[in-house]
Amino acid sequence: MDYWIDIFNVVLIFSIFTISLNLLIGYAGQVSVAHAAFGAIGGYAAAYLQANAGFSFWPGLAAGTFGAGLIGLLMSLPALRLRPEYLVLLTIAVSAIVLAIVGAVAELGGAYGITASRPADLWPIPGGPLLFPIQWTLPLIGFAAPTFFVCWRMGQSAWGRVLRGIRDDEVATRALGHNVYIFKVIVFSVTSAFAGLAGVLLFFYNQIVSPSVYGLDVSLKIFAMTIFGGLGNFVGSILGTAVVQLLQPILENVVKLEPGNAFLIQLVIYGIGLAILVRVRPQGLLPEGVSLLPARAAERVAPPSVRSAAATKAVNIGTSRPSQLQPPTGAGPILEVRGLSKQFGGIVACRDLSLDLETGKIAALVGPNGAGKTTVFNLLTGAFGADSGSIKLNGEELCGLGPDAVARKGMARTFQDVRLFARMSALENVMLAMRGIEGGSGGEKLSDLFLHPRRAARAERSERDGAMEHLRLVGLADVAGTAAGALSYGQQKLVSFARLMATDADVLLLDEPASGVDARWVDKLLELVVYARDRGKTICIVEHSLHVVEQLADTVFFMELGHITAKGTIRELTSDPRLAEVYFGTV
Amino acid sequence: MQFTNNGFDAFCRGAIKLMVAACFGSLVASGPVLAQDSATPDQIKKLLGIEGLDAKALGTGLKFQLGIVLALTGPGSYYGRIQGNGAKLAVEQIKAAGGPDIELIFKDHKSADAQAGARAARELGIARVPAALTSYVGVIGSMFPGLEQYKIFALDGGGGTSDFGQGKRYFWGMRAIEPDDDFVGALKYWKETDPSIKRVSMAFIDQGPINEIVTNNFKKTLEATGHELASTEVTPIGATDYSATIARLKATNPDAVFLFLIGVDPGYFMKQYANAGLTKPTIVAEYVSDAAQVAGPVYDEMIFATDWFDANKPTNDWAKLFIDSYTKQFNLKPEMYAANYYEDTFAIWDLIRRVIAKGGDVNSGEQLQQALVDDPKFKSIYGGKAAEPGVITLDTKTHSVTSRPLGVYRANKGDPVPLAYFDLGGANFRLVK
Amino acid sequence: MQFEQIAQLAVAGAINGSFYALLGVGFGLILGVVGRFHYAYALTFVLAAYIMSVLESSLSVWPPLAAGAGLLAAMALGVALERWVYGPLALSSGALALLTVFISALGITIAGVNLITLMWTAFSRSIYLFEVRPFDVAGVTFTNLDLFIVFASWLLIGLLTVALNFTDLGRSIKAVRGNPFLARIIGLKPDRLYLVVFAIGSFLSGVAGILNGARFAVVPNMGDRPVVFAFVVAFLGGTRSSPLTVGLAGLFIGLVESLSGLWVSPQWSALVVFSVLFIYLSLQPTEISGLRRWLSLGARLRG
Repeated sequence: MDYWIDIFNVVLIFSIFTISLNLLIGYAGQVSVAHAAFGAIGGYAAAYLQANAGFSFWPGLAAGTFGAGLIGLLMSLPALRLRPEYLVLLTIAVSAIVLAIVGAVAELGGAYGITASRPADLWPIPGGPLLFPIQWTLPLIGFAAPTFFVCWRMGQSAWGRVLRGIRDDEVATRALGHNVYIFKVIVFSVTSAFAGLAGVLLFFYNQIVSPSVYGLDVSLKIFAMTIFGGLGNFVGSILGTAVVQLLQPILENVVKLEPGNAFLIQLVIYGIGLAILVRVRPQGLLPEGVSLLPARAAERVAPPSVRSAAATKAVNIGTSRPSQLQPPTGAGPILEVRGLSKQFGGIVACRDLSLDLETGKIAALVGPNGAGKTTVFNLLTGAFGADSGSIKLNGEELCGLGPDAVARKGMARTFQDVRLFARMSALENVMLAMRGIEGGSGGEKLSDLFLHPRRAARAERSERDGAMEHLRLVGLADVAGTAAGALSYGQQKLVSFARLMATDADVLLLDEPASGVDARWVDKLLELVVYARDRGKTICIVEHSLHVVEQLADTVFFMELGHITAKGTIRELTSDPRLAEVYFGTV
Repeated sequence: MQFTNNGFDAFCRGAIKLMVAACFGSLVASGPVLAQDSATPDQIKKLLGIEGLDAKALGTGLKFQLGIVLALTGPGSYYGRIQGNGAKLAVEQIKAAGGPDIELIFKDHKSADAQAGARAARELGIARVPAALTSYVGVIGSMFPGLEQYKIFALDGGGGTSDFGQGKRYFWGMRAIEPDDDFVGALKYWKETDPSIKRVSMAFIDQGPINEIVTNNFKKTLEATGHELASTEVTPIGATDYSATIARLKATNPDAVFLFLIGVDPGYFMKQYANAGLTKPTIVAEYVSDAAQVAGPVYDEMIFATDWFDANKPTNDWAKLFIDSYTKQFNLKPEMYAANYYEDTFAIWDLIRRVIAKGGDVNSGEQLQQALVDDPKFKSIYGGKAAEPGVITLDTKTHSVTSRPLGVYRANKGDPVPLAYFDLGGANFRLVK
Repeated sequence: MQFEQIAQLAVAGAINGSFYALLGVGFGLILGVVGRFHYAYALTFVLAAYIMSVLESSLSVWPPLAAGAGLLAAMALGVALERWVYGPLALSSGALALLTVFISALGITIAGVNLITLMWTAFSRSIYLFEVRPFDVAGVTFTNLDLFIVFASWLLIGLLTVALNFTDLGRSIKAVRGNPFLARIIGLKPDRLYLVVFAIGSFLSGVAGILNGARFAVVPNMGDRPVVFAFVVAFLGGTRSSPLTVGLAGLFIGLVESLSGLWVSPQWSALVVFSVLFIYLSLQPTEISGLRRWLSLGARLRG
C-alpha cells in the first residue's frame, strides 16, 4: 500500500509541474521545455539555503518558489519577444545552462547534488518531520490543490481568455488593445514559480537535489505528460501525469521477468505504450473544453443565462463608458496623419502620406492592388513602425506606440482575413475585445481575480452581457456559443465587426469589410457601419467594391504606390479621367 | 572479449530471448535453473570455516530480502547485469550451503539517475528490506537519506564510499577509495620504474565538492613520491570527446598522466590521446573489458592501477571456486564488478549468521550494522592464500575498507598481467619480478 | 604554445562542428519540409551504427557493404515511421500534430533504444572503416578519420544543396516546403515527397551515426546528445534555410564549444555554448506570434 502511496505522492508533485506547464502551453501557447530546469532552481535554492543558512521548510519553499519565478521573469523578458521556434530553442538553452551550472559548481555538489541535512517539518503545522510517504500525502494535496485552483482561475477567467487569444492569434489580440507582452511575462513568471515550487517539494520529498533529478529528459517527460493529458485542460494534466507515471510501476508489478532484463523490457513496453496512447487520444486524454463532469462542459459554450439576457436591456452599446472624445462638433479632424513614410528593404511601401479623418465621418481608402492600403492601416495601428511622419489622434501622437497601445488610445481595426479566435465561441471573441482598452478591468485584473472574486465575477457578468448585446446588434445572438471557426465567412465578418465595436474605439479602421461576403450579408454590414457612424464613430474603410464605397464614404482617398494622389467624393474621383483609366475603369 | 567475437550469437540469443520473453513472460520469470556442483557447498562452508554450524546457525530456510540497486538500464546496464550475476551466483551458493533463502530485490537506478536512486531507497524501506547492495556510491548519494531513515544496511561494492560517501549512516564502501588509493600505487610504480618522470598531470571526473579533496590528496602524494604537479584537468562524467582536455595536456606537456575516468570513458580518452600523437605514459584508475573495445589496439598495453580482481591469478581457493562456477554459469570470465557483488552477498550472510548467533533479528538493518561494527571483518576472495580466503576489514568511522589488495596491471590485450602489488595508501608496494 | 593550442582547439571544433552540421541538416530538412518533430532521429542514428557494427564485426561483412546495410536500415525505419506512425497520427491530431508526433517519437525512441540494449546489451561495440592514422601539421594533430568526417559531412551537405536547387525532385521538395497547398495544386504529391524527405534525413542521420561510431564507439544511448544538437543546429540555422546555412550554424556551435576550452575546463563548455546561444537569441529582432505559427509549421502541411 505504501508503495502506491509513494507513487501517488510523486504524481501529485508532477501534477504541479504539468498543471502549470499547461497554463503556459495550453492557454498562452508558449512552448517551454525548461520546466524541470525551473524546478531545479527551486530545489537547489531550498537545498542550498537549508545546508548553508539553516532554512527550514517554509522559508526554503518561499525562496525556491520566488527564486524560480524571478529567474523565469528575467528570462521571459528577452525570450517572449522571440519567434516561437526560437523560444523553444531558448528554453532548451536555459535548461542546459541551469543544468551545467548546478552540475559544475562545487558549492552545489556537482553530480552528487545536495543531500538534505534534515527531513522537512511543516512547523507550525503540527505533525513533526515528514518521513514516510503517507505523511506526505495530505501536505502534497495541500500544495497541488491551490496550484490547480490558481491556474484554473487564471486560465478560465477573462485573464485566461486573453492568454487563449495570444495562443490563437497574437496579432489580433494585440489589435484589441491587450498588452500581450505583459500577459506573457506574467504567465511565464507564474508558471516558473510553480515549477520552482514543485522542484522544492521534490527536494524535500527525496531529501536530495541533483542534476539528474531535473534533467532535460525530465523536462521532456513533463512536456509529454502535459500534452498527453490534453492542452488547455487542467484535469487532463493530472490524468496525464497519473497515467504516464503509473505506466512503469504497473509494468513492474504485472510483467514479472528475469530481473536482468525486466527493466529493459518494461522500458520498451513503456515507450511503445506512450506512442500508442498518443495515437489513441491524439487530442489528449481530456481535450480543451471537455470535462469529466458533462454539466461544466455545457456551461462553457452555452449562451448567457436568461437572467443575464434580461439584464442586457440596461446596456447601451458604445456608451457603456463616457467617450474619450468631446461630443462630435462636426468640426476638425479626429485623426491627423502627416508625412508618413515606410520602406521595407529598399521598397517604398508608403511615401510622405498625409490624411485627415473627420470626426463622425466615413472615409474610404481606395486604389489598385499593391498601392499600400493595408500597409497604411498597419502603420496607423502601430503594427509596423513608421520610418518618419506623425499620427495624431485627438492631437495625441501615436507614432512609436504598439498596436495594443494604439487600440487603447481609441483606434482599432479589423483584418482583411478576419482573424477571429477560431477555437473560442463568438461570444468569447467579443468579450475579449471588451478588455484592455481601459487598461484591464474586473476579471482581467489578476488582483481582483484572487482578492475580489465577487468584483471579478460582476465584471465578467456585465461584460458577458455587453458582448451579448454587441452580438445581438449584428444579429448573431443565437450563435453566441458556437466556436468562431465553425461560423460561415459572412458570420465571421459580422462577429469581427461586433468585436471591433466592443473595443469601444472612437476610430474604426475596416479592412475590406465586404470582401468575400455573401450579398445578403453585405447590406447588413453596410447598415452596421452607418449605425456605428451615427453613434459618433469615425470610420475609415479599405474597400475594392465601388458599390460599398459609394454607399458609405463621405470622403475617398485614392492611393497609388504608397502615396495619396487624390481626395474627394467618389463622384469627383470617378469623373477624373486619369483615375478612371488607372483604376476605376478596370473595375 | 568473448562477447564481441560472438556478436552474431549474441544477436541470435538476444532475439530469441526477446521472443521468449514476449510469448512466455512467466516462464522466463522463474529464471534459469543453475547448474550446481555438489562438491561446492561443502567446499564453501569449509573455506568460510563454518562447516561445524548447525542449520539454525547457518540460517537454513530463513527468508531474507536483499535489495540490489544497479544500473539495469542506460549506458551502465552491461555492468549492472555483471554485478547482478555476481550476487545471483552468491545467492545460489549460499542457499546450497545451507544458508538463508535470499531473495534479491532488484531496483534500477537508470545509470545514475538520482530520482531513481532516491525512489529505490524509499521502496526498499517501504518493503522493510533490511539490507541492500548499492552501486555508484549509493547512486551518487541519492540513497543516503533513505538508507538512514529506513535503517537499511547497505554495502557498495561498485563505487565504494569514495571521498564523498565516507561515514554516512548505514552506508559502507567495500572498495578502495577511488581514485586516491590508486594514484598512490601509480606514482610509486613510476618512481620505481621510470626515474625520468618528474612532472605528472591528473585528468579526473568532475565530482563537484570532492574535486578539491582529490586534488589535495594527489598533491600530497606527489610530494611523498618526489614528483611535481604539472596540472589537474577536470572532465565531465560520461564524456566521449576529450579533445579539449588533450589539447590542454599537450600544452602542459607533463611527463606522465594519471587518469581517473570510470567505465568506458578511459577507452575514449586513450584512443584520442594516442591519435593526438601523445606518447607519455599513462596509468588509469579503472579497467573494464569494453573500454578496450572502445579504444582498440591502444588499449592492448595500457596500464591501470586499482583494486582489480585478477581472474587469471586467483589468490585463494574460494576465488578459484568463484571463478570456476561463474565461468561455468555465465560463460564469461568474471570481472571485478561480478567478484565484488559476489563477496558482498557473502558478507551479508556472514552478518546474518552473527545476528542469529546473538539471538537478534536478522530483518533489522540496525542489528546487521551493529554486527559489522562489533567485528568489522569479512572473508574475501581477494588476497589470502590457498585454503585461506583473504580478509576485508572496514573502518567503523569512515565506513570504508582498511585492507584491500591493489595492483598495477598491464592490460596485455584483454588478459591483464600484474606489474606490482600494493595495499591501501600505497603501503607494502612491491614490483612483480 | 598559446597559438598552437588555439589552432588545435579550432581544428577539434571544426571536426565536431562538421558533425553537428550533418546532424542538423538532416533534422532540419525533416522539420522544415514535413513538419515532424522527429525525435526518433536519435534512433535512426543508433540503428545505422548498430547494424553496421554487428554485420561488420560478427559476420565479417565488407565494411562499405555493412555501412550500406546500416544506412538502408535507418532509411527504412525513418520512412516506416512517417508512413505508419507520424503521418496517420498527424492527420488525427490536427493542429496539435507537431506536439503529438514529438511524444510518439519520444516513446518510440525510448522503446527502440532499450530494444537495442536487450538484443546487444550496452556493451560498447566498435566500427572499423579504415586504418586510423594520426597526422601532425605544425603541432596540430588530427586523424584521417577526422578528415573523412569533415569531408563526408560537407560533401553530403553540398550535394543536398545542389540537389535541392538543381534537380526536379529537389525543387519539388523546396516547393512543398514553401507551400504544400500550392504544391498540391500544381500536381505535386506531398505525401510521397515526405517519405523521400524522411529517407534523405534518415540517411544523413545514419551517416552521422556510423561516423560517430567509428570515431568513438557504438552504444545504445549514443544518440541522446546528438539529437539535442541536431535540434539546436536545425533551429539556429532556420528550418527553411538552405542546408549550407544550417551547416554553418553547426560549425559555429562546434567551434564555440571547442574554443571555450581556452578559458574554461571542459565541464563548463556546455554552459558556454548555451550561454552564447542564449545571448544570440536574446538579441534577435522581435517577432511576435503565438503557438499558432509554431503549430502552423505542422498544420500547414495537412490537407
